[in-house]
This record gives sequence, C-alpha cells and structure tokens, in this order.
Amino acid sequence: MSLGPSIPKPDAHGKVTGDTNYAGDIDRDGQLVAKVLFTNEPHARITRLDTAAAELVAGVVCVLTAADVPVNEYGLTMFDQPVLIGPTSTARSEVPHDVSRWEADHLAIVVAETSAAADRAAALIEVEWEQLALVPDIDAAMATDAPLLHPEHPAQSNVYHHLVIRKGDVAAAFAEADLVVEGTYELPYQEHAYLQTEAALGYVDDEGRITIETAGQWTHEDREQIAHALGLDDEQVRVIYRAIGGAFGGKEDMSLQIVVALAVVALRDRGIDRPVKAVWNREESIVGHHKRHRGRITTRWAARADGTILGVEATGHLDAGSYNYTSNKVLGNLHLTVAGPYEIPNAHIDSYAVYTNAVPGGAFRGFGGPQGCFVSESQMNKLAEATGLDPVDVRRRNTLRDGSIGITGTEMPAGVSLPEVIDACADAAAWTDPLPSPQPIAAFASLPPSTSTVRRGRGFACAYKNIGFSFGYPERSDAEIVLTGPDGADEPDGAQLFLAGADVGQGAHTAFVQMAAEATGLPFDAIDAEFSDTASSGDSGSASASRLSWMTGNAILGAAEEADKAWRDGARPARGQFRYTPPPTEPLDPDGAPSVPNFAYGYVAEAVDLSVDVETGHIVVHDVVCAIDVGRIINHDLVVGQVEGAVIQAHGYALSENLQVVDARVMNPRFSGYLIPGIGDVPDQVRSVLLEVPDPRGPFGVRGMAEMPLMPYAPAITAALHDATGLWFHEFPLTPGRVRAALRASTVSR
Amino acid sequence: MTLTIATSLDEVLSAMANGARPIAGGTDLVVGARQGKVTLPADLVAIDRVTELATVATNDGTIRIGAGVTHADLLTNDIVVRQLTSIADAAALVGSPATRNVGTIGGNVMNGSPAMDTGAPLMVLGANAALTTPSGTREVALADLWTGPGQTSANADELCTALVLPQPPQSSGSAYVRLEYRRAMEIAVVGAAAAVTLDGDSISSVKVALTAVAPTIIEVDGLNSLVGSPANDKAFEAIAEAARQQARPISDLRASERYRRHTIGVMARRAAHAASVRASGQTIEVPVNRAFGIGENPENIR
Repeated sequence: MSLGPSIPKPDAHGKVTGDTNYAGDIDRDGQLVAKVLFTNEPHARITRLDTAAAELVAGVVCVLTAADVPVNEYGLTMFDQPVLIGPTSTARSEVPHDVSRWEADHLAIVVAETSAAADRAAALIEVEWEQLALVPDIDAAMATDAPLLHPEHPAQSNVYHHLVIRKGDVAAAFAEADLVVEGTYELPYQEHAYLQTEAALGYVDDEGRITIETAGQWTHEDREQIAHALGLDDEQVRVIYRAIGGAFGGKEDMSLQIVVALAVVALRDRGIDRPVKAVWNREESIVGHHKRHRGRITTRWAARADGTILGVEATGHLDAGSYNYTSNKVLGNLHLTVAGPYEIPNAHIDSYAVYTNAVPGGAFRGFGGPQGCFVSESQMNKLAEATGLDPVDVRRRNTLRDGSIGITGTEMPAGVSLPEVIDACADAAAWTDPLPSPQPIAAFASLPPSTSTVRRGRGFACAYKNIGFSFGYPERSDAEIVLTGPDGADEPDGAQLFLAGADVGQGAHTAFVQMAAEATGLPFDAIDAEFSDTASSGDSGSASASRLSWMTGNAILGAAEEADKAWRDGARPARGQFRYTPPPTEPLDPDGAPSVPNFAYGYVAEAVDLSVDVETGHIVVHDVVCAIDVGRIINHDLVVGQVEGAVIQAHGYALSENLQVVDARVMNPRFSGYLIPGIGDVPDQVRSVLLEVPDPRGPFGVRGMAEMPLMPYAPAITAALHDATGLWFHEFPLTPGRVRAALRASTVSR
Repeated sequence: MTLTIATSLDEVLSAMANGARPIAGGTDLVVGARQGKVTLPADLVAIDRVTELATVATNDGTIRIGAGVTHADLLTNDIVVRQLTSIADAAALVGSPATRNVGTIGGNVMNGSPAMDTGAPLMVLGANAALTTPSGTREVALADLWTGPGQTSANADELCTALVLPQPPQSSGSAYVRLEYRRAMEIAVVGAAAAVTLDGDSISSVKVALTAVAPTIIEVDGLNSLVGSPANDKAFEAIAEAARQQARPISDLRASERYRRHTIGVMARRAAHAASVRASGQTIEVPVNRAFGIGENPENIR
C-alpha cells in the first residue's frame, strides 16, 4: 500500500528552493568562528608551538592546542589519530601526539569573532618541525628501513592488518587447470565530492549538553567519539544532523565534530556562553578527509577449458594512509569480493592494510567492493576471452546460487539471486544481438560528431556485496513508534516515529516513513517523524553498508508491532520501542578457516556500450543497463535515483576522476583539477532493471542496494574498451592520455 | 581599497593614469585572488558599464571588437559568427554560461594565459590589440603583446580598448578546436585555430595557431608552402606535422608532454579541416553546448 509508489521526498522542495538549512547555513546570535589550522606536514615532529602572538590578535577569543584536548585520540574503529598535533598533551592517550603523519593533521583551533581575525591569528602561530623520512606509498611503507608510522600499534609494522582465506587445495587446482588468467591491478583513489562541505555548529544546550549540529552518517557514533576525546560521558554530548548534502562514506568519520565540541567546552570553561561554527571550504574538504583506497592486487585464476573456475590466488594491498579510519573493515570487503560472486572451490587470499603518510583511505560507497570487483570482473572477462566463451555464459557457469558455498567456506545466506540478475541484464542489453556499427561521437564539444576515428565496444560485469557491518560486529537498530488517536477511538489515526538514521540525500527519511505507514496501516501523511537527534532517538547505526533501509525497516516493523500491542492493551498514546538485532555474524578466522561473515547480500549486473576516439583516447558511453535485485521496492524513483547516481559516480571513478597525490600531498584539491563528470559527460542513457526477489530476512523482503550499482561499472567499461580495441587496462581512471598511451603502444593507433 | 565604477572611457583612462587597474568581468582576477594566486590591486576601476567598449563594428575593411564584449555576445554576434567564426567557437567553449556572460574578450587577451581560448583564433585572423592611454592609442600585434604566461608588453596605464582585425576575404573560413576532458567548465588541454582562404579547391592562405603548448599562444610557421595546394588530407597532415614539430608542451597535472604533442597535431588537422569546410561555404555550427543540442538552431544567431 505505502510501498512502491514514488512518493516525492518531503525535503525536496526546500532543497530545490534553498529554504533548507544545512549545518553551514545556520547562524545563531552571538556566534563565533572556529578555524582549524592544518599542519601541512606529511611527516614531521613538532619541536615548538607558540600561540602567544596569535592570541593577541584583536577579535581572537582563544587558541586551542593539543594540550587542551582531554583525551587526544579518536577513530571510528580504533583510536590511532590525535585530535591535535602538539609538543605537549595530556598523558591520556598512547598515540604519539607530537608527530604529524598527514598534511591535514590538525595543529590548532582558533576561535574568533570573525573569520578574518581567525585567519590573521592562524598566520601568527609559530611552529617548528623536525622533518622525518617520508613514507609516500605502499612500496615505501614496506621497505625494510621504513620508519614505523604507528609505534603504538601492536602490529609493530606499517603493514598492520592482514586477512587470510585458505580454502581447499589451490596447488592442486592450478595443477589440474587447463588455463590460467592473471593480472596485477592498480586501483586509484576517489574523492567523495559531496556538494556540502564539512560544517559544524556547536553550543551548550538547555540541559547543559555539549551539542553539535552537523552532517554525518551516524549520530550516535559521532557522539561516542566526541565524548571519548572530551573525556565526557555519552549523555553529556548531543549530536543533531541537519540536512545533509551528500556523504557516500566520506562523512562517516570525524571532521569538525570533535574540534568544534572542544571549542564549545573551552568557551564554557571561560564563562563565555556563545555558539561557535566552523565550515570547510572545498580545498580543506578535499585535503582534509579520507578517500576511496588506492591499492594494488595481484591475482591468478585457474580454470578448466569449459570456463569452470578451479581456484583463485590473490594478494592485495590497500594504502590505508596516515590513519586507519575504517581501513581494517574496508579490507574485509575487498577480501570477500576479490574472487567475485562465484563458486570458488579453492582459494588462497591475502589482504593487507598498510600505513603511509598519504591521505587516509576509508569508507566510500562500496567499501572495498569496487576494488575487489574490478579485479574479479577483469579476471572473468579475461577468462571469457581465454576460453572463447561469451562473457555472460562464463558467468552463468560459475555464479553463486542458492545453496552455494561462499568464498569463506560456508553456505551463502538464502536468496542468492545473481543468476536471475545476470539473465535480466543480458536480456535488457540485447546482449546476444550483434553490436551496432559505430555511431558518430563528438569526444569534445568543438567539433560535430564523426565516425572517422571511432571504435565501438560492449562490456559486462556483475557483483555482490554484503549488507551491514558484518564480520561479527554487534549490529543493532532502534526505532520508536507512538500511535495516537482521538479519545475513545478504536483505531489510531496518527503515529509519531523517532529514528536516528541519517538521510544523506538518498531519501532514507522518506523510505522510513513509507515503511512506518506500511507497518502501521496508516497513510503516509499521518506519520509525524523526528529524525537524527541523539536526544530523542535510539541508535540506528550508520547510513552506510547498504544497511539502513534493511535494518531500520526491521526495527520499524518491531516498533509498530509493540505499539499495536500497547494500543490493544488500551494505552493512549500507545508507545512501541524496538531494538532489532540481525542474525549474528563472525569475524574472519585468523588462519582462514570457514566463517559466516554476513547475513545478507545484494546482487547486480551491468552492461555498457561505448565508443572511443582512437586518435585522442576520449571515451563516450552510449548505454548502461544496470540490473539489480532490490528485494522489494519501497519508493521506485528513489531506487532509480540510487542506481543512476551510483552509475554516474562510477563513471567518474572509471574515466575522469584522477586524484593526484605526490610526496603524500594532494595536488589537485579543486573541482577545476579533479574532474567529476558534468551532465554533458555522463552516459547517454542509464537503464535501471529492478528485480524483486525477496530477501527472506529483509523487512518486507527489502535488500540493500545503494552501493552495488557502483561496483561493476569500471570493469564493464574496461571490458567494452577491450572489445573496441583489443587492449586490457589494468589501471584507471581511463583518462584520454592513459587510453591514448596504451593505443600508441599497440597497433590500434592511427 | 577603492573601486571606481566608470561609465565612460575617459573616466577609465584617468583612473588608470592615477594607478587604478581595470576590472571587467573579474573572472580571472577575482577567482585568482580568492585562491591566493594574485593580490587584488589597491585601486580598481570597473569598466563593464562603459558601453563604448562593448560593441562590434565594421568599418572600411576592418572589424573592431570592443574589449568589453562578453563571450556570450561574441558567440551570437552576426559579424563574429559569419566572418570570424573561430572566435565564436572559442567563446562558446569558455567556462560556463555565468563566466561567458561576464567574461570579456579584452580580459581574456590581457590575462595572457597560454591556455586562453580566444587567443589562437584572434591570432590566425590577424588581430591587433588597441592599447589606449589619455595621450592616444597604439596597435600591437598579438605576437608582440604576449611575452610569457600571464605577461604582456602593455604598460600599466594602457587599457586594451579593442581587438582590430582585417575583414577576411571571400571564400574564407576559420575554426577553433579544443581538446578537453569534460564538456563544460573546462580549460584547454591543447587547442588549435585555423583560418583558411580558398581559391576554388586550393589554398590561397592558411594560418594556424596553437593553444597551451608553449609559454604563449603561438602561430605555426612555414605554412606558406601550402599555398596553391589542394585543401585535402595531405595538406592537413602537413599542418598537423608542423604543429607537432613547433609545439613546446610541458607535462603537468593535466597531461603529459607526449600526449600534448600528439594531440596538438590532431587538433591542428581537425581545425584546418573544419576551417576549409567553412571556407567552401558549408556550415559547421558554433559549438554552443552542442553536447546538449542547445544553440544549433541558426535562428539563435542574431
């Protein structure tokens, strides 16, 4: 009833007209400005820090340094990052506080009346550094004489996290194989490029809580990290999310939350009752937050002549950068996806996370999956070529099915729909029809379309991705529903919904209300919802891992049932609170023995049709078919929006987004140099093919779907480029220069 | 800091004689200042309301484009589109609609960037810059005006008031082709402009200039040998080869030296071909957001 129709997002009008307030838009009376000064030192030890001159600048209220941070450490999955770098610190953290390991480490916070005063003061902070040997990349980090970047970590190595899979007998598989396909793949960074840069407004609320209004992905985790660094209890901190202008994983970690909270505490301690706000500009945002990991993966696949995969060997390294962020967890997803969504009887897989001085790697839509998928699907397409099989047929032969044993040696959760997804994609793309001859393309704007130097090709790839945090993390999701109605009424005519889950622009809040309407039997407009305030709602977990609708929907179903029970028992209003706990998962076994890392997966396949100008290397994508099993459609247009948005984000990842990091510094932290696709550059057509094979454990049959369409796009593009030119590409983005260089080295070039 | 909003040329020139620096659209100056690349001058004189700088006029075999003419005006101006088509090509590619609506050709020329889009077309069309002070005006050939990246031979008190070009003879055509990585909000990776005059099927005049492959826009030398040759693939390939030979590109974040050297040849060949097509009387529309199908209707040209 309430599920399926494309109910317009209630927040859409305000966002389009500019009425909506994002955290950076809010100004309160008497508000002060906080400026965060970066160290600008990728690897150096601080020997002197003097803020005396800065504090004398007119309009400066205070300058905060490491010595002012109660517990000078934070991190989403482990505490390995100082809040501020400084020569002195409270002794409550084991993370060395006097070494800058990243150009965007924070040195000081200036609180001032105006940003001009803050800038003047920041320029007067005196600091001296002792340069340390730079560790710019994975190779340098693994050199025998490399400096240890995190001496506090028990691994006592820059290679600090290692995952293994040992399944079957790989040596026997290669001995038996008719053929072997192999490759070393270099995966690039990607910047999240959300429209809204980081911003936080802080103040002490009416109940004395240190309150931060910001944009993030998990209110309760933000609160926990703020409280930890400030040495406070969680209840002394409040986090509120205002409208969020995109996140994609890039707002899962702290940016301005802790430093602004620290400023609030400092003001309070000085008897100053004034709010304080900080906003990053685009350069600060790009330099100052993590990226999709770059990495290198080497792999060999053993197969029979009929295309059956016998075994996979893979060794992968991710550049975690200067701090862990979520690298140890991202590594897990790379690990599970590097051999693809296939039945692999024998596997020997090693995955490593490596500290360097480069920008940290972290969460980004797909969370290690896009990197693993590029490797698995490139291998699969090479296998198709080596066997002479059609790329779709060779996938049908190897695909995971219901009852298959997954890569970790245990049975896949029920509802493996990849065979149907592959078929649906191939059908919609008319895969077995001959490819039409090249159509005229204009690789750039100045000339009319032409076919003279154009070649055309088609490519296919598929993917699976887990839903939820996985690997033994104690998942939970809280919801509260309060049923209301006039005195004496037999049935409720309204409901209140309290939920923390973040709407990062994907439409989560609309989907929550649709699910609450469905669960209570009330109309959409009868649900009055309050979202994303730790003062009023329980923990939903994060807007990440394609988990939010899945988890929250189950919590809403439980809360609706509890509220209904209370209503039947005569309570007015009838309150229902519910904490949904999904089926337990297990961490990967340290020796690679079987484990159950996940309780649910999503499945996707994509076919692309493109042309390439072989003289200049420019690529134009004509058509993309994305077939995805979403289990059950909550809101059709929002689902299509996720598919198209993910494909376009993947288009930038595959073709144009070229973050350049030289000597551990980001060289192009602006959109004039970091090229996200414009509307003239995106595929001519993206067709969403939505399947509804219910997830037996999903609410209403729902599956997670927000990340999956990003994953197969890059390898589908390289497959199509191979179809057009005969060349395999082992690295991307496929900038015109890179494509042209490969063509020149071959016989294809004109 | 002072800002004088001038409404006449005399006001501008006297402000400049007193040390003020001119600002038109501000698309280079303001953006550069925000990024910390340049310091805003202490005294500015705004010239965007000086209407006498914002006209395109023909007089006795000469076309005069006022320095204050915006890119948006250039790409729809009848004289420019019909007779100086490559300038319209270039103007159509600059930045975004917002930049094109305020950015001016005089600003583009005097900013002196080797990646400027209107520079190569102006050069192949034989433009001079008119530089004016209260005591008079001198005309400087563009090859003498641009002395390095962001540098010109103009004196601080000289205002570029116009670009002055000879009216092209019959059977002439010109084109500007830019290699870019995305279709809007881009700057040239490399670019080439060509101006061709035909005598029947053969070339009676050809000029080619190159964008973003040297410290300034440069004109390709030695093309006179093609005069009298048919305007065919062989001639265009000779132009491409000359462009590759004479380019002095660098490697930077956007492209390698090798890629630039290869593609400057491709751009020069495509530009010469398009200019010849236009010289033969056929139409190739100005790329007003061609990717979106906007502006392809000749009725949009006034």
